[in-house]
Amino acid sequence: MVLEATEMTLNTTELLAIPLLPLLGALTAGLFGWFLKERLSHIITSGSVILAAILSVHVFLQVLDGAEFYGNFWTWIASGDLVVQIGMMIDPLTTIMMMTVTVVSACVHIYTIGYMHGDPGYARFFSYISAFTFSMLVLVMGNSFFTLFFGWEAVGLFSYLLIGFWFKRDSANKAAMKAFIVNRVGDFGFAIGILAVWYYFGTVDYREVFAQVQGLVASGSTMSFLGWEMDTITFICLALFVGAMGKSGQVPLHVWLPDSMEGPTPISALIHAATMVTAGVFMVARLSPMFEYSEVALAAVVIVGAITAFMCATIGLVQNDIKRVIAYSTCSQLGYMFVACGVSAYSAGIFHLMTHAYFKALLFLAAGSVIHAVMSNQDIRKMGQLRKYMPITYITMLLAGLALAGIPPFAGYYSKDLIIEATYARGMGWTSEIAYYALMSGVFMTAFYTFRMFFLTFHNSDRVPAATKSHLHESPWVITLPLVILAVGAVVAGYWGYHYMNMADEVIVDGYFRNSIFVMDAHNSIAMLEMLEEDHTQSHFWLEYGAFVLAVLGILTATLMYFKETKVPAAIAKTFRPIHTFLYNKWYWDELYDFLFVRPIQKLGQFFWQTGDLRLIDKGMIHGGIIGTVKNGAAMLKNIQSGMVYHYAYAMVIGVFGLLTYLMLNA
Amino acid sequence: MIPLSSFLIVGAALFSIGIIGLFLNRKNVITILMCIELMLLAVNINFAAFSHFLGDIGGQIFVFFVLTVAAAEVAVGLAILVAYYRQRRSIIIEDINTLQG
Amino acid sequence: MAEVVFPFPFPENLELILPEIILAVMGMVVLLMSVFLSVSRQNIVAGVSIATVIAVGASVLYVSGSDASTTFYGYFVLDPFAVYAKLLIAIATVFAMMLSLNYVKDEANVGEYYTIMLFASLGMMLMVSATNFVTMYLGLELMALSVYVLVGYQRDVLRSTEAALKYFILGALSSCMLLYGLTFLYGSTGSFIFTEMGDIISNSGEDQRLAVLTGMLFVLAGLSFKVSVAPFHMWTPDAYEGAPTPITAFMSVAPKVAGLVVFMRILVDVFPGLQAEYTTILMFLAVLSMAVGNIAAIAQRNIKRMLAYSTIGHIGFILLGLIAGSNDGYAGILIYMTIYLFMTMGVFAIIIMMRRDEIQGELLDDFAGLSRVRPGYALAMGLLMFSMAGIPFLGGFWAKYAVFIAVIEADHIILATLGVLFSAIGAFYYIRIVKYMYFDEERVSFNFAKSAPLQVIVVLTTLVIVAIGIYPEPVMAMCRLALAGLV
Repeated sequence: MVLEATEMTLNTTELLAIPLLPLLGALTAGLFGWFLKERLSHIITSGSVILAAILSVHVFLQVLDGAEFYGNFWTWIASGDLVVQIGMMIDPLTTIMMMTVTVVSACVHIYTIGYMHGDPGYARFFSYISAFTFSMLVLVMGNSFFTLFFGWEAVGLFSYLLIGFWFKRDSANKAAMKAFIVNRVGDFGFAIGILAVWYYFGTVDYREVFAQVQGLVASGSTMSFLGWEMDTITFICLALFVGAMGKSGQVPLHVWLPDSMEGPTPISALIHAATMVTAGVFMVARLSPMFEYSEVALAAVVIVGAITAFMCATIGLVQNDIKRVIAYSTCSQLGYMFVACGVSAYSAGIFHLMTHAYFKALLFLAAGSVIHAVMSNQDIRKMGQLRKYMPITYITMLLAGLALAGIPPFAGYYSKDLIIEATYARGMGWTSEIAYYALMSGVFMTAFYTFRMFFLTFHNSDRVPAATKSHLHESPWVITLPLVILAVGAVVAGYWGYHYMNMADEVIVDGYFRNSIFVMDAHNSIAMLEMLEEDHTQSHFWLEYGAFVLAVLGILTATLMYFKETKVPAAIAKTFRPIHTFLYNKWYWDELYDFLFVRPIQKLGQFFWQTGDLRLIDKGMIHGGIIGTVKNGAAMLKNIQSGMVYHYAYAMVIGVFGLLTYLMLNA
Repeated sequence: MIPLSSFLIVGAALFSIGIIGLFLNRKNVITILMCIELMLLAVNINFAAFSHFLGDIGGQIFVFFVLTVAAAEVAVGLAILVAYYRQRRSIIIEDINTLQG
Repeated sequence: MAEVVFPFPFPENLELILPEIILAVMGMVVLLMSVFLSVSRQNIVAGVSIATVIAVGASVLYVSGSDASTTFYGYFVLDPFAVYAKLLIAIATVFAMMLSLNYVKDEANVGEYYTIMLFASLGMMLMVSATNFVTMYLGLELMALSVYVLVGYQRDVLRSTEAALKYFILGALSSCMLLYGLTFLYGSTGSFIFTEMGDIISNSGEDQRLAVLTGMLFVLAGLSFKVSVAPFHMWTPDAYEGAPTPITAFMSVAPKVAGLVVFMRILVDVFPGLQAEYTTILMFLAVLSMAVGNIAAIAQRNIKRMLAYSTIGHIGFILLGLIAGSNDGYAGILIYMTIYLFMTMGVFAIIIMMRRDEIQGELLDDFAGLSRVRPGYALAMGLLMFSMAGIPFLGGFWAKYAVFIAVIEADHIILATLGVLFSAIGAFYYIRIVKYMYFDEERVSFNFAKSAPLQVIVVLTTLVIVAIGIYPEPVMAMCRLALAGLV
């Protein structure tokens, strides 16, 4: 079955089973959900995903020992020049993603059993999340741009379906539509990038493409795009990065991500925090052999990441919807990861991706547990003092909050600190400097908004409406168990990754990632960082402890303002009303898009509908228009088909003699 | 000796008469069957003539196949016509129009 | 005593026509069986017929080799191309017979029905193995005469007999055209063997040109009739609507396969020297077929009639493969026919299920609200319709993809554009059925004929279409392999 495999150290059956198990579960639940009922549906889907998670961990351990796999399984289509093969590329970068995806997905599956209990779309929901897991695994495990694209589109599809899962809610439909449209913008760039890869390299296979990159750069190939002359490799990377911006919620394509919180909370945790939105970061790291050759593209990645990290953190400061706070935090943290990739500290970016997946999924699931308890209210102004009712949720969320804020020894500290230090050490000029300050201020804000949300929910004064009071209770074990599992991850993932996995170490020499990530010597920010730290002629206090100090300051500020009910927040909001309104309205991005795109397009649509449809087509049906022509044609052909044999014979004779005449005249 | 062209002209004339009869005639299906026979006759004349002038026996053998098939064809055709007549009580061509559009 | 030397030695490789011999013998056996079996045991006849065709398919595989081999002094060839076509024909016949089980079980003379089907497929199998016009003509007529009878099989139904009558008259006309054209080809080459004729035609001079062109045109017209190419398509909607539904399914696939195979053989073997001329003709025919098929289908209310036009449209797309004139193009035709076979059989199985008590189940309105009563069948029908419309990633998409790519590679960009345009128009009426099934209120009660063979066909064809859609390569590779015998 394996057509060409380079290293056969991994068991291909096991590798194939990892994505196919969730697919099988999804198909079973999707097709036979009506027959299986709730219990069997969730047993089959959760069971297959848990099994996939166990297999992923097994593969991870093997890869740690040095095993790798690269090979094609089957030829999907071979038509002329176009040969598309389906295969896998398993290396340290892939396995860390596989493990993260399957573990978080397994937790979310278990959590969903409790969360979606009794929903009419129960089996459908499980089918979707299993199918999503399959798509995400294809995305990360594939060995070509084709599988990347397939996974990319498939996760987008399931994200869209799941945001609009409660399709009877108008807001959910709107959010789904928004996600779909904004992602189309990104996917357009992505598709162009892949087509450009195919055009310039003649293949979509990662290895073959990477092998040719240097040649392309050396040949000095340039191309002109919209009158802008640039290196081909820069164009390709920028186009692909546009796709990443769409998928990973980077400014200015971030607007869909906060709205996607209309979907059920398990989805927010799985898709819009831990896995799908990180696909962009994974892609940049996977394609590091290409991005490394384009300074312009790297700088663009840094700038976009820094702006997002800063801007979304500021918006998070003032939001009142518990899930939106976390959503903006996700955008912001994704910005950190992109900055890491941009400064060539890909390993730091992926490290943060992994730790972030655990604590952010945990934050969402804990928030979901809260929402579940207070009867689907998401406004933190109507919560408070919940710690008395839900101790497990309280503790796990506290751990997640500390991890997000970057307090040692929790997970976020190691990865985030590493990114900030690498950014400082990289020295790309003004881009990395701006990024450094954006990230540093982001640390303070992150700590602040996380604990603002945390205190308003669990401490402060009790503002829960009386009607829901009687409902308050800790969630059942199927909900709290995943919280606990993820909390373990949120606590130890950073320490484990930093000290045992050597994720922070120099990429090529002896770090975890071995040669799955390519970094040019001139860009190797982590090596630069180590050199800097060994240089004892100057003090590194601010470099090493600055982020920590800012995080503690952020938490302290939040404690002062929100631990007990005070008048300070209201006073501050009043004093800085313009800024507060500006932030509260999310920098007016939605309004800007509304003005720039939505309304003109609606007007255009209105025009086409009114004038085009109603006047030209409906009224003008008999006289013209494409649809009119077709319908007229159909009616005419219906008349010609008169039922009379002699007419039919006549048509044949006319046909023969008409063609004969043509041939005679042209022969 | 009669030249080849004469045979071909006779064949073409018969074929044309057959075709024209097929779609000009609107009364009787039997006439259509006759027109078809006429066209097959034209084909046979052509085959026989070519066979003779080429000095190749193949064409004349093919004529026998055509004759055989034509006989079978008429048998099937008349049987269908009879079945149709039982339902419709008419074999006027203009009446064959329930299926249309 | 002088020894008589018989001029014809015993033909070598006679086993190559084993499948045809089985068909001929079993056809007669089935006829006899039906006479001697009591009325209540006529279903044995159906079983024997189906078993026969399966045995024929197996024997085709058994006698086939990797190369072309001939028998009957070169008048009959069995190459991978013919093998593949015969397998398609056998599959189509088996499916059609399974569709018939429930449909004709109450009719009189069931034995004749299956006998004639067996003879029809015998004719087709002879056609696809023909290396010369004699074999081709005899196979073609055997097929045509059998199908005329099958169309008129419901002798007590007016529209069935009317359809048969129309089909017969026009079919006879088309045979005459084909023969008349053949006389000129024979006259200018003195042979009936494809390759010999091809050599002579390629080297013929100006004075032969008129005869050869006329001959080619008439022959192509006669063949075009069999595969429903506009403007020789006029019989198609009427015959499809009038014929018993299983026969409609049968004649929309099997004769098309046989006809297209002959089409390809003749174009490649007989007219290689006239490629420029026949390409122009085919372009005209293809565009007209795509236009007529896809546009006229929109105005139909009867689904059998709609599918008739849909067939015409599909044949238009298939002709694009002939126009490409390349290996890819011919492979595209085989791919298209393979996928088309499964789509059509699945759709007709569902249509036959829709027939109940007093309703024929053939009107589009009859499908309204199907999704609520029979979600499984509605899903299958929906998938098959999307596949017919060429929506990725279902089988039908790859069928269109194969021929479009071939025609683009042959630098007929305008044709490909027109093809895409017409398939977009065509998508409208396929998807309209999905709309009926999923968004309209049911108007009549459904009580489906419970028939295991029908269910098997629906499930099987839908799965095949989805499987090919996801992973088209095996089918494509098989079709490319089959072409080894042709070019």
